[in-house]
Amino acid sequence: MNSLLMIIFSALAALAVTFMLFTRNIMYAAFGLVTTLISLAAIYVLFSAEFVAVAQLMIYVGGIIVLLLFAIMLTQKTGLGVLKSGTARLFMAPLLSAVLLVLLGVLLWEFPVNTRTGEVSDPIRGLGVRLLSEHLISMELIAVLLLVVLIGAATIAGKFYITSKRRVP
Amino acid sequence: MSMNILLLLGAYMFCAGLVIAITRKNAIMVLIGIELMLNASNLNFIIFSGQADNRLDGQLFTLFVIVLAAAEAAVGLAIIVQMYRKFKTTELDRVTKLNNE
Repeated sequence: MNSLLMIIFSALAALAVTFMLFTRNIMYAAFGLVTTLISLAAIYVLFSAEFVAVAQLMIYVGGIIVLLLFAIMLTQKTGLGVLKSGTARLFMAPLLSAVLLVLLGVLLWEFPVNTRTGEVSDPIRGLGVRLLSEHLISMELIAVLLLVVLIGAATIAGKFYITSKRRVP
Repeated sequence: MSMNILLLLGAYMFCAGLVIAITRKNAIMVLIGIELMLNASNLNFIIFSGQADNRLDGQLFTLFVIVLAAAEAAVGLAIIVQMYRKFKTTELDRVTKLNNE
């Protein structure tokens, strides 16, 4: 049952990624990203990483995707009815990426990873304890970073930044 | 066995994100490709956290990566919006100057 669900969700994610790879429409690509992220959250739940799955749903699907959609709607000329993105370098990049994919696949084929059984008892509790004891400084740093970044993003995207022309002293 | 399928999925997602980030001209599509690559690394962290001795390290790393991705997306999209106001386009090939005057 577990492995069946895992295969279903991986197939869904792979399908969505393939769709994103071939579509030229930015909006469709954003919705393909939504499907991928939700499938990944389901896979995280199956790996007993529930907290990460919830964080993924809240931050990615709830936050980053909304930001992306807002940016698409603010910057594309939707009046023309098209949201197409042009492409460039269509020969070298897919070729090199395919080579990378084949190399990684060969690596996985040569050294398969074995499943290790055994459950962690109460992973969320362990995560919280470690986050607030061992990794306290990193967590505080990342909190401050997020605050600074959000203020900076609001400042950059704000209107007054562009209207303040060079003032002659 | 299902582990290897998931690792292959991670590799595929990374390569697809790489292709999207390199080939698309629109700046938002480049950001979408970068998000895809970050998610592939997250998937690998989660998978391998089951293998490590300390089984929560991968999940901690994933949380940090998610927060950093949120920060990167916020700043990147703000810059794209501002770029659109200055240049009236988001095509990266057509933005060739830092100052549009």
